[in-house]
Amino acid sequence: MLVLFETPAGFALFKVLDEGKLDKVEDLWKEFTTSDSARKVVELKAFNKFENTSDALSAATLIIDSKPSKGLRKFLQKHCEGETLAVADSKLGNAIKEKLKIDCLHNSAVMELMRGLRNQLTELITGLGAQDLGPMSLGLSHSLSRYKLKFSPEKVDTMIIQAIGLLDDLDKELNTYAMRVREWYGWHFPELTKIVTDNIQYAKVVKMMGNRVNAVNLDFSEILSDEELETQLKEAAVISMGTEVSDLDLSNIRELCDQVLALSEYRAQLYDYLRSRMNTIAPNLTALVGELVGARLIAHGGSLLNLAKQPGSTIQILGAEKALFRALKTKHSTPKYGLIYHASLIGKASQKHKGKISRSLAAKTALAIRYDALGDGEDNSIGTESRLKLETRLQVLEGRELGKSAGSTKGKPKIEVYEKDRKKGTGALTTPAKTYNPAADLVLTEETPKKSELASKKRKHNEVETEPLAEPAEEAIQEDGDQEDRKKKKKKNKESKEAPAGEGDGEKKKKKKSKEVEEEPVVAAASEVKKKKKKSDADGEDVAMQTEESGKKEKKKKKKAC
Amino acid sequence: MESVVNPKAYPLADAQLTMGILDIIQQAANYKQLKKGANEATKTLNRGISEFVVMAADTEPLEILLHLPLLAEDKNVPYVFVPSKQALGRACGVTRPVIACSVTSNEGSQLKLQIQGLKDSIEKLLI
Repeated sequence: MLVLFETPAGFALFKVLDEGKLDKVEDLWKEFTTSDSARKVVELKAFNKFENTSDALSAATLIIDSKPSKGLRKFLQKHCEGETLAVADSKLGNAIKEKLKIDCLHNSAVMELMRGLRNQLTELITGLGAQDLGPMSLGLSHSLSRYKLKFSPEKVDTMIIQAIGLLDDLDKELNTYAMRVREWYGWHFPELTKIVTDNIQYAKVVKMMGNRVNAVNLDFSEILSDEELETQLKEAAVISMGTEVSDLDLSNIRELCDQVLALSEYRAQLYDYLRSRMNTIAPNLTALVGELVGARLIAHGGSLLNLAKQPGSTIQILGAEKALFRALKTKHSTPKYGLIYHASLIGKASQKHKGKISRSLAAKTALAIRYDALGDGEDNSIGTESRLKLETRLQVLEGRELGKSAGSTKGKPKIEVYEKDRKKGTGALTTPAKTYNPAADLVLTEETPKKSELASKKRKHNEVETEPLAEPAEEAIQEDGDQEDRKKKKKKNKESKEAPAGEGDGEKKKKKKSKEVEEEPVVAAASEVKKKKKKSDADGEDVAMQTEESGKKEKKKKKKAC
Repeated sequence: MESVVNPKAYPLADAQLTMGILDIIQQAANYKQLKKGANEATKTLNRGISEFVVMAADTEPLEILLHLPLLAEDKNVPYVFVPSKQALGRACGVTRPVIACSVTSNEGSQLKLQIQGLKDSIEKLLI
């Protein structure tokens, strides 16, 4: 087996003399403690020396990208026929295998072997001393770093980061200078501030006019397109309440105006540059969110590649980290947008749908950034298609809002129907009240016996009145009836008061009744029935009470019969 | 299946390894050890809880998930491409195609041995 080892001086090819040692990976380091034991394990077979530092640099850069250089390929073809090659880089091994058909090996034993070789490098390679290796290594590393700084493709977006930073600084500076011009010249001509509101126009007017007394004679049509403003300006100049200024003051104010105008021109130029660079480096991102928002995202992410490694949810809240961590600490709702709030799509959306559009836009932006960072093409089809989809979604959301409002109008009759159902329910509640009427009926049935009693009393009076007119037989019957009724009442009263006394009275009454029976045979049957009742009464109080009740019923029946 | 596979989709699993990968992904989905989608896979890599990352080679355009190999290299996590995003979606238990997913770590999981074996198989593709 052969081992490919890269050194600053060139490529070394070692032959493994004792491959059995490789099986014991844990003990392999012992073999490389001394140069003599190391020579027993491996020996130098071939060495491909770099001719100069540029050759070393080109070979090293290709090795970093896991590609074999032309010299390395020739070197390996020459010495690696039918051998297995151990390499330090698995990707390089795959590349060598594809191009040269040489079997390559990369595992932990090979890595341990590489460490041993590095430890004994100067002893194993004759003619390569430690004194020579140091400066060679240092020179190569410097060349490599310089190469990276010059030609690293990832560094192209630093121009965008610097440009957007400068653009924001320029905006602040320009605003400060313009405010200073207004305040400074305001001492001399304070009315001008309200007449001319634009900063650039104000600076141009001041530069042209100088002292306000010159305003009447000058033509401001090139600066102020509105004639009314020019007329107002000239009238105000005549009656201005400002102080007088000297020529020295005016010259300084003019120089400041020159600064303002120069800065505004440079800002416009820088914006054009930024737009062209953004369209070149990140066309899809620019198509989706615009140049300024895209550039700010790249600047905040650190680089386009760093931004490509972020998920969509992070891109959504880039620029709102302070609000995010405050929300997380206090357990409030987290922010919905960061830098992308200023994208035009979110500006179009209504307040209700800004959050949804923000989330959708962040997801599509993440895809666009990844394509811009990792893809080779410069087309912006992904950005334009995503933007169309988002605009369509926004219209759908806004339209559904109208649909909901229409639905609410439809819902009103349903609400009315529901109220009607409630009214029906109240109607149903009155039905149990109707069922309450039978209870009222019960109350009426209780009142009827009183009426019947009153009727019975009236009947008694009628009987008393009819006595003299009645026939003799009827008279006798009636008289007997009355007496019997009176006796019954007395008996009842006595029974209610004292049981034994009642019983005694009953016996006496029985005797009387027996006499009556003897006297009047016509009433015998009735008296017999009465006697039976009395006997039953005498048996017991409870039974008497029951019979009293039954008696009452019988009385009622008799009265009804009458 | 596309006749021509994007050369950037490397390392690409062969048919047998693809079946093993999809089987493990299905089991991981059942054990709630799976994150579906490129954004969620990115988050697992950033948090360092990913065991390995699987991506679909027939993604169009493929660049929208090529940031995952970069992150996986930084975090020393194995990654592999499978031929079909439709099959990957089915294995994840989703009705839509899935272009990227990540199997997450769980110390007490029953899948640990199978995941370890699969990681070794994926890493062998890079040699």
